[in-house]
Amino acid sequence: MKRILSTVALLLSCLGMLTLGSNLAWSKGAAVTTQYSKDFRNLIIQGERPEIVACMVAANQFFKKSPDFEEMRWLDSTSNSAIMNENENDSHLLIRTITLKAEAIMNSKTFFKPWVKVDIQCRQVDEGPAQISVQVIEQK
Amino acid sequence: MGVHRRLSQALITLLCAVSPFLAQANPEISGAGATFPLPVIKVWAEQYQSLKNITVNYQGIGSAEGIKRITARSVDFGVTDIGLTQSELIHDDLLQFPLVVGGITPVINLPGISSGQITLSGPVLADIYLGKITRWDDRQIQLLNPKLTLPNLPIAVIHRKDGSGTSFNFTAYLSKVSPVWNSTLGIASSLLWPVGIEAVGNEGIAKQVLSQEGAIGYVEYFYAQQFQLTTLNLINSAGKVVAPTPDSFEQDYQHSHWHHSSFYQSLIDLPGANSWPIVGISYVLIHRDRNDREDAIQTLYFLDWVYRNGAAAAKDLAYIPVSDPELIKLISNAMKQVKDGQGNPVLK
Repeated sequence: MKRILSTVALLLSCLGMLTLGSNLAWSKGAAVTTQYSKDFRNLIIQGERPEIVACMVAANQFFKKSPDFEEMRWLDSTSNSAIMNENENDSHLLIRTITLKAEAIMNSKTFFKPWVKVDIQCRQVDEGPAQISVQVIEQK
Repeated sequence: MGVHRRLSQALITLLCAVSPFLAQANPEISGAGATFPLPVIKVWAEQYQSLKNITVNYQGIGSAEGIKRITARSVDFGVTDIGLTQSELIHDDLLQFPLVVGGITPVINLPGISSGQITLSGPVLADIYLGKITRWDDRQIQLLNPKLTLPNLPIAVIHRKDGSGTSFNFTAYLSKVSPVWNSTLGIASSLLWPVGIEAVGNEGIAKQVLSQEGAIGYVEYFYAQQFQLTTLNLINSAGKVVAPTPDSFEQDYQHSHWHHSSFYQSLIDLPGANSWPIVGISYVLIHRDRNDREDAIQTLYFLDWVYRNGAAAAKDLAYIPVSDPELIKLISNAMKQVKDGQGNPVLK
């Protein structure tokens, strides 16, 4: 009985190590976060930078519908590394662009689906809804 | 039971019975947010209380925190210098109106140097905040100030720690004048600053600059005056050397427009030979729907009073009041969209 129990414990610990190992290997040590809400109101209340929240919400919706990606996740550094630019032309047309760094899983038929680094760009023209475009930066 | 005990019980019962009426007799409006307009909001609140016997309790805790508090509905109004666009406002049924305008000025602490003696260009100011220029006697600063003997001192950069509309406007200026800042850091209410020491609020920055020789920070102009800080001249978009004064803020503000339903616009680096290039708008935020009827009415009455009577106090403190009749008409019309919990407009 003791032998069976110790074998089960050994198997469980191996399984744990394998899970941890694969996570570390797949994320390459990148600090990812699950703290971000997908809702505008909650993101604001969580203390997110107000000027990038609408872009984050639009990006979440984009990835939910996109046929090219299975999943997207924000990084711990997403908020601080977000770059916002703004221009207004002579006709007072306001164009705001925000670039966010994240990771995503591509939609493919392969068995291994690693997280890849992506740049998400939101383009907001004259205070309209954010238009999203995604650029894959690096295949891990 | 003694007479005293019976008397005190009766007094307590009486106080309990009248306390709701006492509370109604002196209602309170609560607001929170930007420290940029805090001095003038304090004066408006005092004047309003003495006239109407209504307390306006405003907490200067930073623009980002103000947006957070109004979103969480823990205050009656929020104030932010991080203007929200229409598509952001509709996410949380918010309305936004311009409240007051003010200038943001770099301030320094250099021995032997007084206000107006040093001139910086936008790119040089950006390079200081990027950590590329690290000493006051750097060649780039000396070239802009050939007649001045600059001290051989390291530059201590001071920036905001909290989510700040003053930072939002200051970085908007750095983005406009420096391609490197624009592409690597951009416009931000909070960011990972390349160099510097953190301080909380406009007052925190002012105190930090005051206490540290060689320091440079950025504050709303009133704080520079209040703490008797040394201000700089900047070279504006017309290539002219301009000093931070209510007149140069007004010159910039004259190029404002109100084309957007959110009232959002940037007043950074607008044209004009005498325009100060870093001018910000403080906006008030209130909820459009599901308001407590009495709280919403009191808040709107206070704001309406500010628009009609607050200009003198704003000018006294070197702010630019929002007093253009056409603009106030637009704001008054927008205020009529505010509704109570039953969906009825709170104003007629």
